[in-house]
Amino acid sequence: MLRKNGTAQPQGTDGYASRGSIASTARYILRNTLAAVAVLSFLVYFVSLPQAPALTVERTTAKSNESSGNNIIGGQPTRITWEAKVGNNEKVASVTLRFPAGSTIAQGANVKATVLDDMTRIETEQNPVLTGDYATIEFPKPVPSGLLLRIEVYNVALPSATGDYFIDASYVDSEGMRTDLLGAIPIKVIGITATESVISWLDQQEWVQNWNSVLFLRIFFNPQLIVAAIPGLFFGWLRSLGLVLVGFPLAIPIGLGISFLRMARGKGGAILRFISSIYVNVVRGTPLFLQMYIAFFGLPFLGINVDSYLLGILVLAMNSSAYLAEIFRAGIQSIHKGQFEASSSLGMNAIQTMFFVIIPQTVRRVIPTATSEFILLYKDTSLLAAVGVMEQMMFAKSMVANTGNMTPYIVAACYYLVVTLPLTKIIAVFEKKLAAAEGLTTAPEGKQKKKRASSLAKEDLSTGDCHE
Amino acid sequence: MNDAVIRIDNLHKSFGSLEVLKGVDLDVARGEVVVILGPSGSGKSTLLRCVNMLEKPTGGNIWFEDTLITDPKTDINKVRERVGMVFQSFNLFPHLSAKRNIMLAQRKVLKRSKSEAERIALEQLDKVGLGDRADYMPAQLSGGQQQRVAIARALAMDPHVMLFDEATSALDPELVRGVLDVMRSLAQGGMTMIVVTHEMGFARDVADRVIFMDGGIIVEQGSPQEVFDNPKHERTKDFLGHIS
Amino acid sequence: MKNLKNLQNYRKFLALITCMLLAMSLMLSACGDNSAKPTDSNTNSTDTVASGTTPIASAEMKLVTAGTLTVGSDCDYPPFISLDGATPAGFEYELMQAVADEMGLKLKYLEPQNFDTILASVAAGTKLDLGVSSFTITDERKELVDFCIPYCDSNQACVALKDKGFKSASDLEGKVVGAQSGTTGESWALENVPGITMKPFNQTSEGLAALMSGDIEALFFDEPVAAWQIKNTYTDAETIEKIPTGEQYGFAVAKTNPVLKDKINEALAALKQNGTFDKLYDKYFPGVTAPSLKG
Repeated sequence: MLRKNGTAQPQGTDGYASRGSIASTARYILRNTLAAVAVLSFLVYFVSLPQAPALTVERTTAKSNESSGNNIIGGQPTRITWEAKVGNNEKVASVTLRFPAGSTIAQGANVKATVLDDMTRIETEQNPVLTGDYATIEFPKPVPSGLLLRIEVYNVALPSATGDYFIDASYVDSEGMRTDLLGAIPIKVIGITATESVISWLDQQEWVQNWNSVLFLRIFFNPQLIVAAIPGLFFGWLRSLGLVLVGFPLAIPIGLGISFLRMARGKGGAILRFISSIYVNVVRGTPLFLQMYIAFFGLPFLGINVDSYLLGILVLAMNSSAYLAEIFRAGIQSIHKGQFEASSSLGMNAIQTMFFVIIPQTVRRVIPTATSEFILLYKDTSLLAAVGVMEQMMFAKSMVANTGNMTPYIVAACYYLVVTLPLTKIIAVFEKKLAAAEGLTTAPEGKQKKKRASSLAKEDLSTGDCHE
Repeated sequence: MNDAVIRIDNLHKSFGSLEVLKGVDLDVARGEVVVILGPSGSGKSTLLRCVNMLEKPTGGNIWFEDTLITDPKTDINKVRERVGMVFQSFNLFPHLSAKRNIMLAQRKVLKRSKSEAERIALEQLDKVGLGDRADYMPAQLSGGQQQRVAIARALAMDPHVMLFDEATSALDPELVRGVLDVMRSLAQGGMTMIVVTHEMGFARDVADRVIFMDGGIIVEQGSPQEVFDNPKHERTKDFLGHIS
Repeated sequence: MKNLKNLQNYRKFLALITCMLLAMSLMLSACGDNSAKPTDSNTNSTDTVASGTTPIASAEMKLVTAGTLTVGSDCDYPPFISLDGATPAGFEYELMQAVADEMGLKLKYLEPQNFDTILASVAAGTKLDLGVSSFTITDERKELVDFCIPYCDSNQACVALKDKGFKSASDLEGKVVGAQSGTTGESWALENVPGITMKPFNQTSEGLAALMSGDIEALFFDEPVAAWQIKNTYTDAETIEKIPTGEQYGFAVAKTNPVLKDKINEALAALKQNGTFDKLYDKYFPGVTAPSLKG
């Protein structure tokens, strides 16, 4: 509690002096015992409330002014909302809100009252006065009992030190009697954060002001918002990464399984191939966005209720598994027939051949395409914003909505690039390596054959699987 | 029948409507080296591949030792353990070193211990003259070296028969010799071999019996001298005439 | 994969990037030239809330399309605005139709737009003349756009499923709740209910679907819409708390277009005068006193 007795005391005596009945009681007590002095403030407090419940404070809040979070930061403009109910047989002619010492008002500061009868807005004439220390609203026609008074002070900055702050108030009734109301509802203020102090510093810089005077730069590359968005979007970035880092590994075994079904032979093979090809073609032939909608809004109708983050992971994994299945299938089929024959001629059975000969080679071949798929899937996590999964895009969107500025999107783009660019580079290196390795593997004739085989495989890989 | 390791009886093979083998009979005795010659498309490779069931015959029977391998109930992998094959395109496993190429099937199929498989692998590499290349990857070896590793890989399985399917056709001329030397010494060691090749010199020197195939049938067979020096059949004469 | 192909054409890719950068820098320098002068006197916008346009008020009424009032809305807020098939319907739509008739203009509603992007579009002034999507007039929004005189009073509602047993918004402490992104409902919940996790939705109907599926415990949105939705569609839900905020809706106009604002205000006043407005209001909100339409 920041408020000290020292500030409460004068207000207590203030109220005491203005009220005859309490004053005489107090005088009586004072005359009888000195010890009562200590109790005085309590008595005033407790006795005065039930006696004159003219205005009951119901709510005191401040709007978060943190660029990327939900805290109230001291020293930065915010909006304070104060609500009180007018009690029985009272009429309120004016209300004064006293801001904590050290508060300031910023440019564009403004105070206004809304008067409500239950849920109905009552048009009320009002004369506001606003300074850095207090805000007063006079009602030429006093506000009658039973109504709710809602006062909003816009662009006032609370003190910059961390702590709980209180808005003390006083009101004057229609007979001119003034009553003080001690603030009892704390507003939690955190001291200026490192981010906010950098932003404040940027605010002062001339080059920043010049920079921001160019519309394009201000809207897309606002320095203050870049600083705000980097920490602000960090958790969104982690959440997006989390989605794909769990979803993608999940998609790999599913995709591998489906690719085997796609290549199934033997008696039941036709049915397995048919079912798996339906899965692959439906998943790849419809937008991921649509699949998300079906999963997120359809499953609840079946009474299935999955955590939306988990469901997001599942949808991504299912979607990606279809693409991966085709990548794996093409990869496996791109392995030269001779590898199967050599394995067979050595007496290895189909499963041994798959696991010890074919898949190890496939892995190397599909790493570039599978990494591309990873990148696509990572970018597609952004679609989940539309179905209410908190991820990067959602964080960026709400910052954009709060600031009316595109810069958070640019920062979000950079966050995506932090992941995708190195991966793209890795793909390039891998492909080079792979090309080199394959080029050396075989002698002239075999080499030609193999080249044809692998280029065919690449075509295979490159045709089927672009996301919608 | 006991001295025949492989007995082929009236073998037919069609690919769709194309009949590649039109009734082939062939017995191969233990320790015998049989070289099959013939123009391309004559069915000689198909015949070889039928012997370890890489191609499934459409008619006829094949016995390997006492097993009827064309019987669907036969576990063909058991037979393949005993029939080594060397391919035109080597077909080494590119992700494994020379040594591991040789060890893989020993471990997985013959269930040999790692140390035993490794010992045998090194021994076989020594035999083909590549003892110092054990840890090389296939991509780091020349074609001839790769083919010798492939031979070592097949030999490590202790095969009773070795099949060579144009083992030198994919090699640059200067590399052919090393592979042929390995094959020659293998033949001298008493290995039963069926060899499909275009190397006439090798056939003349090493073969116990030369078979000339054309149009899906065996046209003529006999000792190298008989076939090369006194071919009876017009088609054989034609073929040999073109070659030399 | 497309990426793969791009990689294979790495050089082409590089060339493309270079071209784009060049184009961008050209744009930048062009922008710099154009706006440097008028904004010199306007470098006081140290606030991070950037007003989207340089406020040069025009003395003429500007319309995106001549003779037509072009309106942007999310079209998902019955009874104010919703889509009937592909055409908008609702109180706001009929009101806008009346306003446009009064002004002798044609009315055009654009495709539904996400609520949280409409004001920025209004401020940019290139796509929309008016943002009409039950916008509460707030000081924050006034920094970005101007508002015409308020045409409707509203409050907030906190809606939850009946069987959840919540009694008031304060029961939601620490819970996952939702609101349409950028709405006053969203900021009220964040400001007044401690410890909540807020899920913003593009559309209120998406939020309602999430409420039904149990994805969120409660949804905060405007009380008249809550009443309508509960009565007509979401009968399993209830308003657990009506929150008196006394907010007022206004049409959003670009700050650069004060004449349009004045003309609209005149039209609204005329509609009030001749009874059209009250009749329309009574059609949608029977028994509720129509607002006075005073600034």
